[in-house]
Amino acid sequence: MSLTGTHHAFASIDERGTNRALHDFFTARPRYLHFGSPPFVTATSISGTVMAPIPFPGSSGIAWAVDLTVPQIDLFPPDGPLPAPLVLGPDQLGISTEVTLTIGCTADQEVTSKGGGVMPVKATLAVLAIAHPVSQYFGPGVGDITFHVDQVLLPDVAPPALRLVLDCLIEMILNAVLAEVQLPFTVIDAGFIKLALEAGPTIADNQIELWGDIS
Amino acid sequence: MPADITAAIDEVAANTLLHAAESALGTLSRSGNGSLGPLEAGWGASVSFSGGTITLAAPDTVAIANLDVAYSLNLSVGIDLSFLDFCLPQVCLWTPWGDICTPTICVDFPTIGVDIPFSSSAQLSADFGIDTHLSAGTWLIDVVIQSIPSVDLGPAATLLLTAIGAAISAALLAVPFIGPVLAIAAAAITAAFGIAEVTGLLGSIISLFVSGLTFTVYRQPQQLQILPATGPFDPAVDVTLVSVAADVQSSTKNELVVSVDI
Repeated sequence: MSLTGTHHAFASIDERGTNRALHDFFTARPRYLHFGSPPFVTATSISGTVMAPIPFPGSSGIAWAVDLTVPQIDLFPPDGPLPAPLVLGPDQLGISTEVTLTIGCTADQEVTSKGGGVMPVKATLAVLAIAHPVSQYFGPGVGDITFHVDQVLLPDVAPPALRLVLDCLIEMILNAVLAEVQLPFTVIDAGFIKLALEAGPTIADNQIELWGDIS
Repeated sequence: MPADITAAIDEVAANTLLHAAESALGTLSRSGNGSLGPLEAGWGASVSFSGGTITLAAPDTVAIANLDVAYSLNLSVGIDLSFLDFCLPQVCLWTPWGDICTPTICVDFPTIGVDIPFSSSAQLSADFGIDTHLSAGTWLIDVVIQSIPSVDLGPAATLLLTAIGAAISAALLAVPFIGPVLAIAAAAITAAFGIAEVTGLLGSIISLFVSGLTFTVYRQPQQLQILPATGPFDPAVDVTLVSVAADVQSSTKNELVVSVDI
C-alpha cells in the first residue's frame, strides 16, 4: 500500500518525533509547564507564568503552583498496558506526565501576620491521560495539530472521591496547557510540502498521519 | 528504525513540485566563445526550463520527459573582410599635353562585427538522480541530471543559420564600397559554415546549461523554525533536522519519500 493512498501527498510524525518536538517546544517555552502565584512565581517570564493567588475570605489569598514535567506521548497502539479504566484506541494518544501541586501553607496565621514565610507544601503525582488530536487548517501548508485530553487518571491517589476531584482538576489543567502546544504542519512534513489537508489527522502505527495534495 | 518524520508525494504531486522547482531556478545566463566554422563567435545566452512530465522509478530516479528549454542567444561574430581588399592600378592616358594618370586606388575592407539575436526552444528528456546533502546549515534535496541527453536542435539550427545569413547581409550593406563585391562577400562568408557548424555551436551552448542541471525540491535550514516568536516570553521554537534522506519507493504507486530524523 502506498503512503499517499488515494491522495497525492502524505506526511507523518512518529511517536519519537512527536516527543522530540514537544521537548523542543517546552525547552523553548518552559513557562507552559510552570504556573503559580507569588511567591512561587513572581512574574511571567520564559520560565514561568504568574497567576493570581486563590482568593479566599479571611486570607490574603492562597499561594499555589502547578509544575508539570514534559508530557510523554504514546501514539496508538499503546506501548504497554494502561491501568483501568484507561483504554487507548485508534486515533488516540496516551499522555504521561508528573504534576507537582504546591500550596503556600500559612496555617499559622500569627506567624504570617508577623512577617513569617509561606511554607510550600507540595505533592508530586503521576498523571496518565487519553487524548485525541485536533487539527486546525488555514490553507496549504498552514495548519497545526493540538491535543485534547479526554480522560485523566491519577493512579496513585486515593480515596477514589479525592482522585476524581484531582482527575478533573488535572484534566482541566492539561487541556489548558495542551491548547497552547501546537504541532504545525511544518514539523509533520519537515517543510517538504505545502500540504492542502484532505484527510487526517489520524493516529495509527505509532504515528500521526495527514493526507492531502500540494499546491 | 523508521524516521521521525515521513513525507511522501506521488507522481502527480511530484509534477507540481518539480514545476515549482523549475520556476524557482529561474533564468540562467552564461557567456562564452565558440567556433562557427572558421569564424569565432562570442555569445551570451539565457536559458529557462519549464514543463515536462515527471515519472518516478525506485530506488532513486526522477525521469523528466519533454522538459521545455527556452533559450535566448546573442551571437557576436567578427568578420574580417580583408579578403576583399583590392587596388585599382594606375592607368595613364596619352594626350598631346602629356600623359594623364589616375592614382592607384586601394580599398581596404574592415573587420565588421555582426550581432545576431536569436530565441528558440527545445525539449529534452532525461533521468535525474536524487542528491540529499547538508550545505552551510541548510538541508537540500536536489534532483540532478545524470547524463547530457540528445536535444533535437535541427529546426532551431536552420532558423539560426538563416538569421546569421540575414544579419551578415545587413551588416555588409553598411560597408562602404562593398557594392561591387557584395555578392562575393556574402557567398564567401556563408560558405564558410553550414548547418553542421551552427548545430554544433548551438549544441555546445545548450549543453553547458543542461550539464549538471539541478532542480532543488527541498531547502530547509537544519534548525527548522516551527513556531515564530510571539512575544517576549514566547521565543521561537526550532527543531533540529538531524538527518534528511530521500528516495523513490514503489508499491501501488511510485512515490518520492523524504525521511527526516529530528
